[in-house]
Amino acid sequence: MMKSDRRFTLYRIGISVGIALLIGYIIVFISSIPSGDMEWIKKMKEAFNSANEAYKYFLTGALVKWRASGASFNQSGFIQWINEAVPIIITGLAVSIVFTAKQFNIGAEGQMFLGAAIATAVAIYFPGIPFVSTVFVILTAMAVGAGFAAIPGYMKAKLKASELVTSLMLNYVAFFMGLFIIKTFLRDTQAGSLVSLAFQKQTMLPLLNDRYQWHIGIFIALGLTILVWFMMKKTTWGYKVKMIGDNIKFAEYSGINSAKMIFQVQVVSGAVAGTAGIIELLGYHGRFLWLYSPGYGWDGIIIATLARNNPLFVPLAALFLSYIRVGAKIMGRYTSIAPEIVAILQAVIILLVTAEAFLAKWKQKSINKEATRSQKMTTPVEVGEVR
Amino acid sequence: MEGNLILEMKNIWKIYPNGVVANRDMNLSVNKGEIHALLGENGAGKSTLMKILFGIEQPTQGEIIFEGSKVDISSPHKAIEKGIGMVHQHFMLVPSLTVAENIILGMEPKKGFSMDMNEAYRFVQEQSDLFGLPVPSREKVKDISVGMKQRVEIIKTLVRGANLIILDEPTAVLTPQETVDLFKALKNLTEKGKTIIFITHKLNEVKEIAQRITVTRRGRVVGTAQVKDITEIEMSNMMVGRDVDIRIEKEPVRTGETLMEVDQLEFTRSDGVKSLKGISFSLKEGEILGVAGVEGNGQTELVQIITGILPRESGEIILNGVHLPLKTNPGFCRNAGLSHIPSDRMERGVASDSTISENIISDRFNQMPFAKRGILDWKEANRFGGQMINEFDIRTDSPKTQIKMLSGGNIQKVVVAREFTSHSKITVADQPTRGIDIAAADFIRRRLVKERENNLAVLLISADLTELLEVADRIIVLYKGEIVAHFKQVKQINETVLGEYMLGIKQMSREEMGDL
Repeated sequence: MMKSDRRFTLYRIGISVGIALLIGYIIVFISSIPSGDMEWIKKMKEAFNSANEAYKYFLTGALVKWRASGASFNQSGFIQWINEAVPIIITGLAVSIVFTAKQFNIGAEGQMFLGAAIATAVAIYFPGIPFVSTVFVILTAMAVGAGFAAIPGYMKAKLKASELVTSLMLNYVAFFMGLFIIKTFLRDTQAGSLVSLAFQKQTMLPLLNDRYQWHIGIFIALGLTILVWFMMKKTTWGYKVKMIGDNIKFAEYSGINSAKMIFQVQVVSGAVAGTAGIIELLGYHGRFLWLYSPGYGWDGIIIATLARNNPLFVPLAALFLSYIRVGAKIMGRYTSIAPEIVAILQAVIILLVTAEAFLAKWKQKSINKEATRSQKMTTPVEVGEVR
Repeated sequence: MEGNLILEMKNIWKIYPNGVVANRDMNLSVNKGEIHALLGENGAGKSTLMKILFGIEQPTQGEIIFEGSKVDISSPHKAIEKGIGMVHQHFMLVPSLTVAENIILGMEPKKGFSMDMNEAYRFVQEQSDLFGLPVPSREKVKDISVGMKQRVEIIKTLVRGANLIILDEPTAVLTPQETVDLFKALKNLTEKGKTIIFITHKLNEVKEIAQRITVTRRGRVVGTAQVKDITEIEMSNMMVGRDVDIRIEKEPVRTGETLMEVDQLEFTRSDGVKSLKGISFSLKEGEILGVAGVEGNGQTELVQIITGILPRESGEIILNGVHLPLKTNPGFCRNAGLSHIPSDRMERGVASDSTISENIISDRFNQMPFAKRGILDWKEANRFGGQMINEFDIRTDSPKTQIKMLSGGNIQKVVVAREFTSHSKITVADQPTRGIDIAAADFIRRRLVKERENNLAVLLISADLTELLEVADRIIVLYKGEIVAHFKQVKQINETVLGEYMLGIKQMSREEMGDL
C-alpha cells in the first residue's frame, strides 16, 4: 500500500506538471495569433509555429543554445539555472522543517532579508580572510535569522499567538529594518542606485566559473540539505518535531515538551532561512542590492509543498522551479512572450499537487483492483487459536 | 414474518482508500417491525455496513433494496429522506441548545421570519408522547444525562420520518438501569411498526431484545438466525470462531508498599462545575484498583490529573514516593514511574501517520538502546517494534506500517505494548478495552493481571462493569465527583449493585467504605 501511495504522489506531480505546461502552451498559442487581414487557417498556422518556437526556448533554453548553425550547450543558461536554485533550496529546507511540525513559517522571507542585510555589514567591515570571514558572515546571517524567528516562536509557545499572523507581519518589520540599515550605515554613495558598499574580495564565495559567476553556493545548499535531512530523520530532535506535527497531544502525553519544541522549530527554521540571501550576495552580486524583497521565502513555501516536506526532495523541487524560470526568461528574450507566464504555471502546478481529490478516483480504482487480487490469492485467516 | 422484508443489502463490498477491505460480499436482510441485531467484533465490518446504509460511506459494489425498490443512498440526507435514521455512538447534539431546539434543528416551525418556539415545544411534546419517549424539552442538552441524550437522538430520527432506525452500540455509554429503559422504549417502537437495527457486541443484550441476528466476522457475514433458536455460546462461536473465556485466573492479592497516594483532590472545570470533590485513595503494590462510574462523573479529570495532563486545583498526589508539583506535565509523571493507557487512543494514544516503531518508542526514544548522543538507532527501534508485534500479537507485516493502516484493536495493542514495556511501577489504564475485539480485550485484561502478579500497581477505569468485576481487586465508585462506594470484596457483588451506586441511588457512609 505504501508503495502505491508514493507512486501516486509521483504520478500526480507528473500529471500536474503536464497539465500546467499544456495550459501554458494554450496561453502562448492564443497570444501568438497574429492580428491583421489574413486567412483563418494561415493565422492558426503562424500561431502554431511561433508557439512551438517559444516553447522550444522555454523547455530547453536553460540547457541548449539554438543557433542557425545548430544547437549547442548553453553554459550561461545552465549556470544561471544552478545559481538561481541555491537560495530557494535553502528557504525550501527552512519551511519544510516547520511544516513537518505542522507549524507555519511565513516569515522566511523576512528572516532571509534581515539576515542578509546585517551580514552585509560584517562582509564589508570584517577583515577579509578567505574562508574564515566567509563562514563568519554566513554564521552572522544564520544568527540573525534564528533570532528574528525566535519572536513568533516565543509568542506561539508562551502566548499561543498564531505564528501564521506574527511571522507574516514581521516580514514588513524585517524588510524596512533591513533597508534602513543599508541606507543609513552601509550605502555606497558613489553608486547610482541604492546599494551597499562592495564586499571584500576575500569574503566572496569561491567561483567554479569566472565568466558566468558560477559560485559554490549549490554545494552549500546541498550540504545543508543533507544536514537537515540527517537532523529530521536520524536525530531525536527530528523525531520530536515529527511527533509534534503528527499528533501534538500524543507528543505531550509521551513526555515531549511541546512548547519548547515549537519554539526550537521556529528558531532552527529561521537559522536556515537566514542564510539564503547572503549566500547569493556573497556568490553573485558582491553587495546588497535588493530594493524590494526577492521573494525567496515565498518560493520556499512552494518548494516545501512540492517536496512534501522531505528534505531530500527539496533540491529537486527547487531545481525544477528555477529551470522553468530560467527557461521563461530565455523565451522572453527571443520571442514576444512575457516570461511572467511562469507564474501561471507555478500556480496551476501547486493547485493540482495540493488538491487531495485530484486523481483520487483513479487511485481508488487501482487500490480496489489490488485489494481484490490479493483477496483471491490469500485464504482467510481465522481469528487466533483456542487457548 | 418471512416475505415482509423492509431492507435488503446485497453483495456489498467496501474497500477504503488505504486498501483496507471492510466489507466482503456482505448480505443483510431485515424484516419489517423487528429488532435485528448486527453482531460482530470491532473491525468485523458491521459499522461500515451501517455507514453505507446511512449514506456516510459509498459501497464499492453491491445494491440496497429498501421498501421494495432499489435505492441509491449517496448521503445521510438522502437516507433520512427515504426514512432511514441513525443514532451514532457519539451524539450529534448541540450542547448549548435545549432539547426541543435540537430536535427541530433544520425543520423549525416558523412564524413570519422568526422561530415559533411555542409550536416547537408543543410539537416535541406531541411526538414524545406518541412514541412513549418522554424528554425534558426545555432543558439544555449539556445538563441532561447520557441516556436522555440518546433518547433525544432517537426522537430526532423519528420526527424526520424514520421507519428504520440504526442504533450504533447504544448501550456502550449507558448504566444498567438506563439500558433497561432503552430496551423498553425500543420494544415500544417496534409495536408502532418501526424497524430497528441494533449494532452490538454484547451477547446478553442480543438475547434480551432482538428477534433475529446477523453475525459478521472479518468483513464477511457468518450467518443469520432467529435469536430464540440459538444460544449465547453459539453466537460467540459464530462471532470469534472459538469459545470465549472471560474468566480470568487470579492469585489472591498480596499487597506491598503504597505506590500511589491521592489526598483531598479537588478540581473545578472551566464551566464552573466542581468535578472532583475531596478525592482520597491509595494504591499498593500488587493490586488492581477499579474505578466505576457513569461517564462524566469525574473519571476523566481524575485520570488526567494523575497522569500530569491537567493541573489540579488542590490536594496532594504522591507517585512512587515523588510529590507531584502543582504545575506538572506527563513527562514528569512518566519519570516518576507511571504509564498511562489513555481512553481515546486516536486522540492521545498514537500518532496515526507515523509507524508502529515510531509510536512504540515515543516515551523512550532518547534512551539507550534507541539513541546515543541524540542520534536515533532506527535499526534497533524497528527490531524492538518487530519484537512487540510478535509479543503483543499485532496483526501486520512490518513495524514500519503506519498506525492508520491498522484496525482499532491492533492500534490499542500498539498503545498497550508501549505502556506495558515502559518499566513503570504504576499503570493507569483508562478504558483499555473499549471498542476492541474480544480476543484483543481478553489479551489486555490478562496483561493487566500479570502486572499485578509482578508486584506492580494498576488503576483501572472502565465502563465495562463485567471487566471491572473480573479484573479488579477493589472497586471504588465515583458519582458527581465523589467516592460514594468502596468494595473490598469484588467477588461478592455484581453489575446491578455497582449500577445502584453509579446512579446515586445508594451511597456508602465513611465507615462502610473503610480504608480507601
